[in-house]
Amino acid sequence: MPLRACIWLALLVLPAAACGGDGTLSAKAFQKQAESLQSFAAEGALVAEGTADGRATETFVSVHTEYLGKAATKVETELGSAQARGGLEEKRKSALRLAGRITDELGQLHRAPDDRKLAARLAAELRDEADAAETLAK
Amino acid sequence: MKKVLQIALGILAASGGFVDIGDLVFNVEAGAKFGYQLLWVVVVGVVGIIVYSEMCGRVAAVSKRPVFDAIRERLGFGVGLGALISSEIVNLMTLAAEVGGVALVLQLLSGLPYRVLILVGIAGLAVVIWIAPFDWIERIFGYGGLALLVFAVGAVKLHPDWGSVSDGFVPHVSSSDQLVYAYFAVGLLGAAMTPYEVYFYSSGTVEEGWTPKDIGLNRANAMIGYGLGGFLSFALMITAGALFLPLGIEPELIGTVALGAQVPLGEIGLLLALVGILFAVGGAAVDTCFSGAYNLAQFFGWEWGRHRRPSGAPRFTLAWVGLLALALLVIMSGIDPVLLTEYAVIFSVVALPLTYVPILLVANDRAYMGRYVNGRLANAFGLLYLLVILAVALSAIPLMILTNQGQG
Repeated sequence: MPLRACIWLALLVLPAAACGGDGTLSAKAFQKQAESLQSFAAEGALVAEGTADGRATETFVSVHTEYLGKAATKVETELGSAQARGGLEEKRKSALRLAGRITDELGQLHRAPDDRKLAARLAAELRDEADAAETLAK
Repeated sequence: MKKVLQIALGILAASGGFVDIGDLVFNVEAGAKFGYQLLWVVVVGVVGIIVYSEMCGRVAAVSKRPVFDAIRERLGFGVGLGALISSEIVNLMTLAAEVGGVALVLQLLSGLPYRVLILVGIAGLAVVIWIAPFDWIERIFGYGGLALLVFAVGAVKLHPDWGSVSDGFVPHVSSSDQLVYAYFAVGLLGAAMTPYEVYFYSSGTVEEGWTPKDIGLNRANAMIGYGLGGFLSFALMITAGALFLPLGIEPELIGTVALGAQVPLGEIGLLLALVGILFAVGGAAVDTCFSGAYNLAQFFGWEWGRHRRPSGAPRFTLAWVGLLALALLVIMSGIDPVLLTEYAVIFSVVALPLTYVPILLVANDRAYMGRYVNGRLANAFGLLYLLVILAVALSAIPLMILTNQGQG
């Protein structure tokens, strides 16, 4: 096979392999999604803690959580449209529910960046969700 | 006193130009992924940029010829044109990413819509470049960029394990995720040795009218200026290693970088971090914009230089205005500036040999350099770094594909 054809084949096969090869969610791809959720939740918790302590500007909190929320929504959409087999399907459903909660809480922080009581509650919830996502990723 | 002031200005210019959006992204991502393990790569990159900046500054001071003059002469028109096209593409990608970064930071400060702030950022940059003299452009962005020192304070306040930090300065290979580790090592080297830095540095030497008398000043500027830039890179990576790694945070946003100062230092830390990033990224936008225009003008033999009035160098002026307009179009397309930065850094790595080989050749040419030709030490470092550059240039794209841009 000519070198150029091999390169094109590799470029086509590598992304497909990450999805399990036939459009289903692979364990590795799922792990990446769960790690992303852990990251968004943990970062959201840091921002919420800063809000609760009055150590961050409202503008920063509102804008940054909007971006984090959009990124979490993207993962939620990908998890929602994917299919998995066996035990991974249960984990996918759990991760999907988790993604929904993280997206919702980041949205609350985005809309009320001046509410310190709400931020304190959201910080605790987002920390728990980061732990849950970490467990799912393992 | 005048010499001290000149060194100070050079230091400010180098520190402002060194830590651009590519350095911010790669240092913080590397710290969040590998802790302090990649600190040694920053040292390698900083020494490399010092070696070649000193060389190209010396060449420009002695021969009055900046880098792209040497590229065209030493590589010939055909290969030189290839180098020009590749450098202009990377410059444009970097410029667009920096403009996007400016808009994102302005949004985090003001809350206004991102696309409006892209227009504000472009207009602000154009006005500053048009109105301000060259040395004032250096001062504005250099002084502002020094606010990034807040990350050094933040790093200390986060109480990192200093034993692990010192271990990070010893070159080693990671025991896990070796390909991803290699990808970040290549990215950090690329971010530290980005070609636009030497284009800007050597052309700036000519703009400031340096002569062989200023060779000591050139050496001090390169060593202290880029050394300070390296120090800021250490601070960013240590902050990310101490704060983001234990929590599993994968930094993908400019706002995440600022959190590294907000968490340990509160609102004042956050504001200083955002202001520092704004000026550093804005300064890099000016550097890349000028670099693109310098390269075109020097390759085609046009009149060039910010020290001339726009009517005295019309094609050079048109070039930087055109580059700003193209960057506006690229970033308004909706592309993510952070993602664009990663591509720009990796593609710039591929172009590194085309930039650095001609510098080394000219710096060794006694007909140009006379008694200021490279000494043994400069040649030893120059050749060593040429090997490093060739290795990273060959491995950059395969590593980007194999690691899915460092995602593993």
